[in-house]
Amino acid sequence: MNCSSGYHCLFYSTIDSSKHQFFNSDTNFADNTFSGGNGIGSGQTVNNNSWAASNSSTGGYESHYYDGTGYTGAFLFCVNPGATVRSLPTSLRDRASSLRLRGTTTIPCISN
Amino acid sequence: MALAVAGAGVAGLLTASAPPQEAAAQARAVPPIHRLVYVITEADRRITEARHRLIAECVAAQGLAYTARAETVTGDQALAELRPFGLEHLEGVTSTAVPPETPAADERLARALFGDPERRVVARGERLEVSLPAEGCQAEAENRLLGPENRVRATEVRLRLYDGEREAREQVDDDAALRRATAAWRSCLAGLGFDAPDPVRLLATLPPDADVRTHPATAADVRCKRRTGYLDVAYERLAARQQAWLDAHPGLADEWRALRHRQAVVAAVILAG
Repeated sequence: MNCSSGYHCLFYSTIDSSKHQFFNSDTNFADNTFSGGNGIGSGQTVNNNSWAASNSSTGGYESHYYDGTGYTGAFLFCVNPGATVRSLPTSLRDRASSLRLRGTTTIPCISN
Repeated sequence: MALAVAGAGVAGLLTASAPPQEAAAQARAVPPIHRLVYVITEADRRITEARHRLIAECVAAQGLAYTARAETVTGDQALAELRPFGLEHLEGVTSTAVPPETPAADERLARALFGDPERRVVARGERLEVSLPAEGCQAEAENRLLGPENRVRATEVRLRLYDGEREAREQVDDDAALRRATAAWRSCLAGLGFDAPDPVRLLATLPPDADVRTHPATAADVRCKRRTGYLDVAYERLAARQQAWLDAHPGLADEWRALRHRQAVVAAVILAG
C-alpha cells in the first residue's frame, strides 16, 4: 500500500505520485500540500487537486470526500479501509475539498 | 409531484420525526440508483454487523484486537448528504467528525486485516478502478459473506452503479426542464443581488474560509431553490436519467439486489451463531 497504516491518503496523480496523508477529518484542504512518493506533484495544494485515493485505516474508519469545504457541496465518494481508488474519472478529479472520517457505516462505498 | 420511484422499502424509512432537512428530502423523488444503494435497510445493518464480527474473530485468532467504531447512518441521512445539486438547507450542514484514530497504528494489525500489501485484486467499472486486499481478515470476511467467486464482481457492480450515478448527474445538466428551473433560480438569485450560473458553481466559487451556514450567497441559494421549486425539478429529472441508465444496463440492479440478499442470508446465519 502507498498509504501508511492508520492513514487516509489523497494522491496528486497516480498512487505512486506525491500524496497527502490524513489521520483525521479535515474540513478544508486549502492548507494541505502533496509530498513524497515519486515527487510528481510535490508542493502542490491538495484542494481540488487530487486524482486518486486510498484508505489504510486499521480502525474501520471510512474516508468520505466532499466537493466543498466543511463537508458541504456534493458527496463525491467514500473509500473503505484497505481499498485504493487508483484513478478517479475526469468528472471527479480535482474536486475533493474536505474529508470526513466516519466509523464503519452501512453506506456502500465504491469499494464494496 | 409524482414520486417516480416510490417503494415500500423507502416508505418504511421515511418517518414523521425526521429532522427538517431530511423531511424536505423525503418529499422529493428518490432517484432509483440512490434508492438502490443509499437507502439503508435492516438487512444492510445485519451485513455490516456480521462483517465486523467475522473480522474481529479473525483478528482475535492472531492475538490482536479489532475495535472498529460503528456509526449509525439512516437511509434518510445518507440521502440528505448526497447533495447532487449543492446545498439544500443551512441547518446542520457542517457535521461533527468522529474522533481520530491513532496514526501510529500497529503494523501487525494492518497485516492481519489486509494481508500482504503486494497481493491485491482489482475491480473495474467503466470509469473507475479499485484495488482491494486479496487476503487478510477483511478479504476473508467478504469472501464468506459474498462467496469467493463474487467478491470482485460485487465491487464491479457497485462501480457500474456509481458510473450510472455520475453519468446521470452529468447528463441532467442538459435536461430542458432543469435548464428552465436553473434559469428561474438564477433570476431569483439576481433579485437578491447575487450571480452564479448554477447552484453547484455558486458553492464552488465561495472563498475557502466561507461559513456556508451564514454566508449571504448560500442563504440566497437555498431561498431561491425553495421559491422556484428548483430541487423538486432537479430530483425528478435526475430520477428519470438514472432510470434511463438502469434501463440501458438491464440486469445490473437485480444483480446488486441478489448480491445484497446473499450477504443478508449469510449474515443472518453468522449472527445467529
